[in-house]
Amino acid sequence: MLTAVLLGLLWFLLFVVGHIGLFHFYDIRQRSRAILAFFVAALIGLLVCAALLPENMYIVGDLPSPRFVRAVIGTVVMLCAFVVYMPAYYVFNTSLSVQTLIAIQQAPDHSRCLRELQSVDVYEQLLRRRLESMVAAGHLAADGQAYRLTPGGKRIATIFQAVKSLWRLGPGG
Amino acid sequence: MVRLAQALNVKALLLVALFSLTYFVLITAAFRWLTVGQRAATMLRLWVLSLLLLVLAYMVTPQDLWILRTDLTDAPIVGLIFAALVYAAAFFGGVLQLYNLAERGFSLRILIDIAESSTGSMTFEDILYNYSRGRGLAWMYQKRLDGLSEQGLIEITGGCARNTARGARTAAIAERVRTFLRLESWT
Repeated sequence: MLTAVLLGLLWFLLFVVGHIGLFHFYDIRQRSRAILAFFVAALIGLLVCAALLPENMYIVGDLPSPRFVRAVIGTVVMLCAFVVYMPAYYVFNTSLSVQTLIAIQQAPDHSRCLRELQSVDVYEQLLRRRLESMVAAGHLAADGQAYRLTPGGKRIATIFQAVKSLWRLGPGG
Repeated sequence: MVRLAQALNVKALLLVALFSLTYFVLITAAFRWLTVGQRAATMLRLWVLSLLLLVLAYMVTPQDLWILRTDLTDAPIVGLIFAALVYAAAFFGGVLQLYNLAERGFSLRILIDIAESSTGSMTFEDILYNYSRGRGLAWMYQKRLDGLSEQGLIEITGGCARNTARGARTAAIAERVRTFLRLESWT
């Protein structure tokens, strides 16, 4: 199992380094799709690696295991790392709280008055950017002055309406 | 199917699946039938308790779980660490993330607002002033500021917000990451 775990971690590390490098050196518009494409590529790399690695080749302290078991365990490791990593990435990418901390830090004297932070201009800017990114991600479609859900957006809304209903959560947001 | 069953013949994965399912059922029951304050903290406490039970279950059950092929079992400590890591991922990247998105997701709330609107569409102004069933973006942003204040990341005095030392550190790290990844501001 150790060999499979390490294989999964190695390919996940390659995925992280790859997408960070891509974002740093190139101006990528569809970042979520790029991340997904990179992850799928890394997953394929893992599966090929697990298939090619001889069963009697394993790290010290491990036991020999069938190729298929290595592929399954490696995939589980990669998926686990991915579901933990992505929320962290989105905190840096989209969190309004984090962006507020940065805006305060960048202000003269590292202080911002609430009337400046809570102005309609700021709200409009926040919303405009968010709507643009949702349209780019394919969740919303601009229809003249209005925004409509795409089929993908509808599916996500339906799933989370069900979760809210199941857990009896309020409107939230 | 036989190969797949053999591949999944691993004690750690079976126990994690069982505990994850049980956790989800318990937390769902708690949210539905009990008054739970500070839901995220309650979820974390329940998860820590269940993790201890998982470790205990792993230690007291045989490596083959009475049903597995013995040649597919690993050294106990390796399996235990693997189980704990997968269980942590299922919680922090799974159920807790699902809760955070459902309760706090900005984009998700916009999607749900539009889905719930009578016309199936909303204008920019509709969303600005009627976000989250009529509470508006001002409410949403106030919630963020309250959260930052409660977590000790900012302090508000004289109508102005200032980062605490922890808030300043967080801002510095986040700014470096965002700059390196070339992320735009206010997305």
